[in-house]
This record gives sequence, structure tokens and C-alpha cells, in this order.
Amino acid sequence: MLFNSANFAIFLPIVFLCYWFIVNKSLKAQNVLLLIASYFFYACWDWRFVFLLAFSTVLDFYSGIKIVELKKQSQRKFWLVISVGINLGFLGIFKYYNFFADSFCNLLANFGLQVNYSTLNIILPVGISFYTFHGLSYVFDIYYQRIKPTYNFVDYTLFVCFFPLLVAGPIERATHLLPQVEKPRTFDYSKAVDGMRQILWGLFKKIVIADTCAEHANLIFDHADMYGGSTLFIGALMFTFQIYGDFSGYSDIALGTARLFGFELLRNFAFPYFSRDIAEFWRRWHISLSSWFRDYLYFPLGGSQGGTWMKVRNTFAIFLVSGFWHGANWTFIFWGALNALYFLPLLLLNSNRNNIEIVAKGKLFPTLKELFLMSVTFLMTVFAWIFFRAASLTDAFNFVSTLFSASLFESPNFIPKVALLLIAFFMLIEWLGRENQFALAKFGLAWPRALRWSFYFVIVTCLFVFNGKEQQFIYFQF
Amino acid sequence: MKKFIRVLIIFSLLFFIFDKLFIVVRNYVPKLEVDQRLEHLLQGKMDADLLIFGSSVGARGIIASELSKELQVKAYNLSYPGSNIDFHEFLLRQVLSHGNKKPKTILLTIDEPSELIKNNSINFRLERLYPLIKYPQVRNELAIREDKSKILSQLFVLYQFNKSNFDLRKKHFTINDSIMPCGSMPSYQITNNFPAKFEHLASVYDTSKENPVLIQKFNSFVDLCYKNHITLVLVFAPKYQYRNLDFENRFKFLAQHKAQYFSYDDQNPNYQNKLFYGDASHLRTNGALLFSKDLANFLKK
Repeated sequence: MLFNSANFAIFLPIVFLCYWFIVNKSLKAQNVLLLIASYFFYACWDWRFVFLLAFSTVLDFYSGIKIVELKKQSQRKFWLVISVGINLGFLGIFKYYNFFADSFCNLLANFGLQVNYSTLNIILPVGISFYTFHGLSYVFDIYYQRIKPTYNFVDYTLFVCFFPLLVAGPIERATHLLPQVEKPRTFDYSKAVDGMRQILWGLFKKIVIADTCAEHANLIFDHADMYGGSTLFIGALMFTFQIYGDFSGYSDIALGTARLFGFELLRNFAFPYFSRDIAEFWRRWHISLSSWFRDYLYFPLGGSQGGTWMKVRNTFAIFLVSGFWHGANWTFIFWGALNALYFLPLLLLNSNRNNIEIVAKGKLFPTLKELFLMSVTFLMTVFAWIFFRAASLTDAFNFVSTLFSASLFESPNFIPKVALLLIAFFMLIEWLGRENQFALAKFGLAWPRALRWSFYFVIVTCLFVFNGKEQQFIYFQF
Repeated sequence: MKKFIRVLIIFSLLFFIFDKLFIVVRNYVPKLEVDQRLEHLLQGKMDADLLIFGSSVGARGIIASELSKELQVKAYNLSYPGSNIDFHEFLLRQVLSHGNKKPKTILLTIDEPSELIKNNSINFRLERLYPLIKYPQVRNELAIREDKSKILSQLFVLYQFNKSNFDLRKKHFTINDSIMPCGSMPSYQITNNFPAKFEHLASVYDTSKENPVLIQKFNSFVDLCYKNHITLVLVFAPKYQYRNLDFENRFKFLAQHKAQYFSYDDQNPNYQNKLFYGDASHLRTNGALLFSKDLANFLKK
């Protein structure tokens, strides 16, 4: 069931009304209802993988308890290793088996050794990377004594598989979400209205921006050999907005939906395309994943403590792992490495925390310097996305070599005027709302209601008109 | 909570009313179209005895008025450039509904080699349907093809729209892409997109590349004609190359006795002359006249 589907438009009101009108008196009943709804939501993709999700949940729940109950450090470590090993094992089999088998055979072939192997026809369970990381963070936090385990299985299961975040995040932490699951929740009008606004904006990002850009990006990337540099640049630009609209749109719908049920999920995007350097970009893009890697990989590796070599090594480690997390393809690893290279000068000059606040805070326009820095960072990001989008590294390098040829300065084969107009409108709203949690959070709140609602009518009209065949969210494949 | 529900209901009601204002736009949009062939079908105005289906090969390569003149029957061309067998089958279903006169003969031009192979250049032309969303059968087809949800289409007028519906300019053809009263779309354009000489470019046909959905649509097209006692002729229009018999035999195998077959004479020097072609796959107007006469002679028999 996709967030942008008619089925979800039916499912959500039913769960909402049951939640606040039928089971509102009992926290336990509310949690059970959300749990059933979440499993139903997940089973709509493929019911067979429900068992995998349930197994992973039971494993982490039980491991958490054992880690606390056992006194000996070796026994505690044993349960940590069991949980991490099995979770990563599943991830490895479902997501990376064919990649490793292919890469291994290609490596041997380079030495003249031909190996017969069979790739398995493995279907990637939707959301496996996300719920695995939920569970791992829980077990790690217990092991490092940041939290105590819950003994309530329903609460824990809901933490792992709460339907708004189940298939594509944000990657939640037990320290943040579990207390919300355990506490009674009361209906808050302003929170619910805010949630509706965030859902509306998320749908706009996905249906209007991402899906429109996707048409052009797919056309250009799939036939890159037919186009010159200027058209390829448009293709890369279209993908840049497609992936942002797609993933941040999904996150907005997830956060907005959770708000309707009284939950606050972790913020996942904070206007990344207005970043002034790549370090700021990574503090604003897929925040829940970046912070996960920071807390559970970068810090344990030593973080920024130690010498320059340690810093460089750890930075490359998290960017490479982050790239690999996205998919079993060398393109993702290269994309991660490229971002690490972008990051390196900032790290060495100790200027990776120069831009913490949002750009031009309290002002309408950025300074020329800020505009220049934003443009450079944006173009670097556009370039990196080429590797993320390309089907293979060969395709990516061919794309790049044509992009940086004389044809870059020729007129493009076509100009997607509608898409560019939509992007301009979208970025304008994002710019005006950049100091808030999401662009529409306070946008138009001071206007008369008639005007504000007219604006919402325009957004809903766009959603209807641009809604074609349901398009999968990009991050579902991860 | 009650306030939230109340505000949501008021918002939805107001939007519902706002939405219904777009019925006016929906009814106006078909008038902007210059190609009104599909709308004629939906209105039951089709009264031809001989219909031509196909993609640009049929639209450019067969002049329906020439067939009318030669055969003394009313012929009409329903070929749409860029359309595939899926779209032709949809058109045929419309011909057989809405009170249109049932044709006696149907010519289906076959696209070589992509008639049954998925190809980006020919597809189901959804965008030809959107100007006609005022017709329930069109909305139904869009829902079947999952381009729009059926429930939401029934509830909201705006949901039925596509962004192209908001282009309220009158559509027009270019000089190289005009439409005749008989529905044919002959081309005067010449490109240099030709192989060096007339030769065997493809003499084999790989059935493993075929798309099962397109095969099913082709079979459905053949069966619809057969069940309705319509004479179906599969037409292999000229290309600037020798005929690919392997490809033609594939269609003879699929349609068997339910269809007749007509292919161009690749020994005819005219069909080996570039001057009769716009490009390697499409005839120009002079070539189309020539081929239409040959076709008429075949149909006379």
C-alpha cells in the first residue's frame, strides 16, 4: 500500500477514526490497533515477509532482555552478536547475496578463473534496511546501557513496525519513540492540523514534483547515449529534484501521519538543497540515517578523536557504508566515496561545522557569498546523484564524459518547461518555509482563512491532476 | 477532536463544490482537438465499411479516400502514429460499441519489427484519451489501465484530469502532420534516414523478445473481427528493404485462418525507390497512393 494510493486514502481515515473514537480510552487497545494496522499495511506488500519482520522483532526483543538480565559481559556480548549477526545476515542474504556473488566471480574472471555460480531470484523484502536498523539501534542502546529494555512485547513491536515509518523510515531510536509508545496520547488539534499540512506537502513533493521529474530523468538516463551534454545536465537536474521530492515527500507523509496519532517522529530532511557546504548537506539530508551511522559506526570507530588519519578513515568508512546501505551496486559505493571526497577538505580544514543554522536566518534573501556557496554545493550534489541514478559505473562514466563535452554548451534536445516551472514554485515555497520543520508548517497561517484554503485547494488540485499511475517511492528498494 | 473533524468536513465539502466547477472545462476540452476521430467513435458516428488500424505506418502509408474511390465503399483511417496493438484493440472495441456501424472489412497494418515487441516509440496513447474524459467509457479505460483510480474518478472531476487538459489552446497539425477527411495522415516530409541501399536488413525474427500482453491484444483483435464476421486483412506496408518473411509468417501463424494477408511487392522497382519514402519505414504521399492502389486491387479480388 503506497502513501500516494487510493487504498491508503481509505485505510488512514479508518484507522484514525477507530483510534480516536473506539479505542481512545485505553492505551493498550490503541497500541494493539496500531500494531494490527501496521501488520496489515505491511502484509499488503507481500504477506510472506510478515514472518521475517516478526522473527526479527522477536529476536531483538528477546536479545534486549537477555543482554540486561545476564550478568557476565561475555554472555551479554553473545546476545548482542547473535542479534546483530542474524539481522545483518538477513540483510546480507536478501539484499547483497547476488552482488557479492557477481563481484566475486568478476574478480576471479580478471585472473582468468571462470566460476560457475547461480544467482538466486531473491525478492527484497520492502523496508528490510529500515526495520533492521530500528532493531539494531534498540539492541545497541541496551548493550551500551543508554536505555532499559521494555518487557511489553506489543509496545516494542509497535516501535519497530509503526506503519508510517515501517517501509522507508525515518529510522527511529528506541530512546525517542519507545517512550511515546508507552505514554498515553491525547488528541491535539493543532498537532493534527499540522500533520495534515505536512501530509499535503509530502504528497505534493511526491506526486507533483518527484513523479513529474521522474518522467524526464528516466527518459534521459535510459537513453543517455542519444543526448548531448546540455540534455544530460537537465536529466541530472531532474533526478536531483526527483529523489528529493520522492524521499523527503515520503518522510513528510510519514511524519504527518504519525502526528495524527499523537506521535512525533525524527525529522529526516531540513531543506538540504539550501546547504552551503557538503557537511551541512549531510546534516540536512536523510538525517535519521546519517545520525544512525554517526552514533553506531562513526563514534565506536573513534569518531573525530585521534589523529588526522583516524578522522579520514572514519569519515570514509561511514560514507562507504552509507552508500552500500542504499543498494547492492558499485554505483552506490562510488556515490558514497565521492561524498567522502567532497567532505574531506572540510574535515582537514576543520570547517565541517561552519554552517549549523539554516542559511539567511531571519532574512528574505541570502548574501551573494551564501548564494555562491549554495550553488556550488548544489552542483556538487547534482554531479554525485548521477552515480546514484546510473544503472552501472560504466553508464555513469559515459554519462559524465558526454556531460563534460562541448555539447554541454549546445541547446538541449528539449526543455521540460512544466517541470522547471513546478520546481521553481516548489523551491520558492521551500525557501520561504526553510526556518520551520517543513515548508508549509507556518506558510500562510497569517493569511485570511479563505486565502489559505484557496492555496490548499491549488495544492490538492495539483495532486489530482498530476496523479497518474501509482509510482513506487525510490527508497522502498533500499 | 470534533473541531478537527468539522473543519475537515467543511474543507472537503467546499473542495467538492469547487471541483464540480471543472465540469465546464471537461466538456470544453474535446472542442480544442483537431483530431476528432476517437470522439466520433465514442459518439457512435462511425459509418465506414472499411476501417484501417495501425500506427504511423498505417496513417501515412494508406490513403483511405483512394480505397474508397477504387472499391466504391466508404473507407476511413483510424491509424494513430505512435500507437500499438493495445491501442488498436481499444479502438476496435469502441467501433463495435456505441451504435457505430459495423465495418465489413478491417485492415490492420503491422509494425515491423515492433508489433509484438515492447518498444518506446509505439505504445497505448493514453494522451489521446485525456481530452475525452467527459465520456464515462474513457474514464473507465483509464481506471482499467490504472492511470487513475476508479473510486476517485467517480468522486472528483479534477481527479479525472491530466495536466494536458489545462492547455486550453486550440490544437493544430503541422504541414507535415495533417489529417485528411478520410482519417489518413499522409506525409510530405523527406529525411535522409535510409540505409545505403535496398537490401535484406532483417531476415529473422526473434519471438523470445515478444511481449505476452501485446500477443494477447493481437489475438483479441483478431478474435473480435472473427466473432463479428468482419474480414480482417493483415497488411505489411512497404519499408525500404526486402520483406522479412520470417516476421510475416509469425503473424500468419498467430492469426491463421482468421485473417487474410497482404504484403508489398518488394520486387516492384517503385518500392525500391527512395523517392516514394519519407524515411526507411514510412511512405510519402506518392508512395502511399501507389500502395493504396495495390491494396485496393488485392481487396477487389
